[in-house]
Amino acid sequence: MPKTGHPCGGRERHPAPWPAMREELGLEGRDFDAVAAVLAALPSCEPPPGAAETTVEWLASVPRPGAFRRRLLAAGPRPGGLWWTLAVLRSQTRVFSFGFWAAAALVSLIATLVTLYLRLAALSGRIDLTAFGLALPFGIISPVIAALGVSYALRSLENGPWEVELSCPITPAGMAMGRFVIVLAYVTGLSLVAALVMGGRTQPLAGTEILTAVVTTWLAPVLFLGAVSLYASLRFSPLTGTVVSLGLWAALLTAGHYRPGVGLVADPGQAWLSVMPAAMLLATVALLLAASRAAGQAAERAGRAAA
Amino acid sequence: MRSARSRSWLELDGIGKGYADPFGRRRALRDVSFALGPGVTVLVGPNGAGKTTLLRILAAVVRPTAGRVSWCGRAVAADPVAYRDLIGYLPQDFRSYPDLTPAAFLAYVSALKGIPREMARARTEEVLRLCGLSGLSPGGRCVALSRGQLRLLGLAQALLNDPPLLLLDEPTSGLDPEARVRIMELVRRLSAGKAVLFSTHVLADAAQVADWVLALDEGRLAASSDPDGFVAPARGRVFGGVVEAAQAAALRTAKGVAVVGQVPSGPGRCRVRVVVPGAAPPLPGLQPIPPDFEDAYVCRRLLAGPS
Repeated sequence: MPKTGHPCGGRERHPAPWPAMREELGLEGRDFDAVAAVLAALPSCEPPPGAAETTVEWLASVPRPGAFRRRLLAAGPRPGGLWWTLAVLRSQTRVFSFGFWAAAALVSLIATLVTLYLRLAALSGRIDLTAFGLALPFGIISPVIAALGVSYALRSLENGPWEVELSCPITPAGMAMGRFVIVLAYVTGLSLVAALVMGGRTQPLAGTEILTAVVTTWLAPVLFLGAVSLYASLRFSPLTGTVVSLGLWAALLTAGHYRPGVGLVADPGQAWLSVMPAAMLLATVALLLAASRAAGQAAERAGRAAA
Repeated sequence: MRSARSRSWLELDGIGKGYADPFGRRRALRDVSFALGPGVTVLVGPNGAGKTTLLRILAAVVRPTAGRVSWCGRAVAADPVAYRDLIGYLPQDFRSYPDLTPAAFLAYVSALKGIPREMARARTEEVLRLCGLSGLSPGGRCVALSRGQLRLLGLAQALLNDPPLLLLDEPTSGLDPEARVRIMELVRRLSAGKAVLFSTHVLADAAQVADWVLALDEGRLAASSDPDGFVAPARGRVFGGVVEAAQAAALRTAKGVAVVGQVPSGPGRCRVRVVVPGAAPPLPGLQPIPPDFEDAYVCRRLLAGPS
């Protein structure tokens, strides 16, 4: 609101502070902005003839919020902005039941213990680790958890409140990405813990080596499989997302077993900027972009089913 | 009609919606235009008329393939997220997350609607009470709710943000008579200062609360009028009386006659209520009677032709 150059000097023109006026008028945000724009455009302290009547008439034509909504408009964050995005992300954690967190942690723990046992056995010379290829249990399981987690997070598409969720002030893509990020963050956290446990027990690893191991061995496949699951779940159905992502993972593991360097499970000793992770990251970005379109298509599909 | 038509908040202009399916392109809506203001507007029509598609478009869940929807003069398509902040929507096929309790589900939807946590708790209790669900067991999960209770929970979530526009797709479907009466009273009470649009097959409900009636048929707007105007074409076309059972059977198969009521009335006789497109009774002895909403609906269908 410009205050300079105005005959009233600004203060006299609007004695009520804007937030107080906003609450007093009890208008929706954009309606209030429209009133504010009218007031700001007045050329003098005295409104021109008819301006007040026109504004009052216009005010009578817009909905006046109810008692609760007035308090909400005064207190709550409205759509848009970082705070809103964080609130939306936090709300999406409610979609996951305790069973999901517990099951994922338990499976990770078992996979970590088995991997740890194999590594210790290899170090003591009791087994030849190369017989297992590079796909050690934890490296295999993490992407599976991610793929299943993403499909699970989108289960409302099939038999949940997806329509209600879509009618809330969030974009479909934002909601889907929020769930994707939550799953990825959880699986990455589990991977980091596992990396620390395994690194400390088998051989002393420097911090950068642990990071390399996490990125090349787990994070890249987790991202890739999670993105495939997200896209297929939104484009087709959560069940299809599960089948496609797990099928693809099985194919990649098999390919890697017979032709080292083709599969997605990298050797923790490789430079983490090798071609394979870079290719996977590119593929992931492409899939995320595709998923943002697929979220809209999922909404259309729901509409078509009803029609 | 109260002031609903004089103040238009929601305006639809030439709305069309087509779905591409494997058997060709299907038009769910064609050139639907109307305006909606404060008060209760009831949407009626046969199955497949496009009621649910229309409500989904108004809930910004699906996009129309033609036309424009605007709220207080602003195009919904320009900022659907801000528009969704203003609505409460009960889908026809409302579902919840079965593993959540009703209160937890409402807390989740509150978060999606941007209601701060401290306000959400009190609001959740309030809407549960409004919808007659405050007696539910606190630990009971949504999976244990009856169909009617789930419907009430759907209504409760639509009310959470105290929206100026309520879109209810068959809110009384699956409810017992007591709950239906409660919902209709609630809709009536809520309509003060709000625009409520609900679709229904129960025309008695429509008659109870309607300020305005919209009828859809094969994707087109077949009628848009106040309740009196909706019933008007049926005046002089509804007849009732006691006839022989054989005559009643003949009426049921007669062309251009719709039997809307038939109850036994002594041995071999029954009391019938019929609607005809013309002004003459189909049998001598039948007397003209005042039409209700159901008669009016049937009469409009008869007058529209064999489709």
